[in-house]
Amino acid sequence: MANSPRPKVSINRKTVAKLLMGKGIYDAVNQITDTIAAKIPGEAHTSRYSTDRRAGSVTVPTEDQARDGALTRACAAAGLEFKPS
Amino acid sequence: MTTPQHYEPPTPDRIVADYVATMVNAPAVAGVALDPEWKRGGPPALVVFDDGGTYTWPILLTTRLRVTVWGSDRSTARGMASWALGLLMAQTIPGIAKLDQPTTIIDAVDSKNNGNMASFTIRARARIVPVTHAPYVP
Repeated sequence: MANSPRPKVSINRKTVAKLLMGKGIYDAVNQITDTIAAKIPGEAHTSRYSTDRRAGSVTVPTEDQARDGALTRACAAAGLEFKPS
Repeated sequence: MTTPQHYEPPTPDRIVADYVATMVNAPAVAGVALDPEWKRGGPPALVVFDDGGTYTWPILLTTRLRVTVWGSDRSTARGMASWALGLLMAQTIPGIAKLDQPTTIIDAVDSKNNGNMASFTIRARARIVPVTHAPYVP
């Protein structure tokens, strides 16, 4: 309605920050990194870290990526879209 | 009852490799598999691999192609990979809707044949095409 007051939305950033650092995100991130690592036939290294939120990484030797596409294939096999950032 | 329309996914790795091959002067080669006889010291070989992706059936195939060049030294491999990246980002290739989101070029030494590799990946999107329903002929 034209005369109804505009709803006010405010994001509780402190709570969002807590959620991003919480166990839920931690477990979700770990599950994804472990799924990708499990699909890599050769050497793979995973690490868990935090920025302002929980994060994880999977690393493979450059030789395995260049010759066999170890990481890109594992991402596709895990149903994830590989995106260069 | 009429036969339902059949569709077939394209093979972007083959399309891109064939296109790149038309732009490569001998003795360098481009294809979809590395010649098992390839040796360090020989001419560079560019190979296009399909690393997999997703369908939006029956419209679109979205996949990530990996382009790896085997060469006798780092600058040869990197030089041809850079050239290929520039070519793929500039051209519209018949049969490929769009090539975008390239990664940077990484290099490594192939412990199997001692060649210098230079590699990047690029996202390919291609239309899934309607085909005539027919028995498979080997």
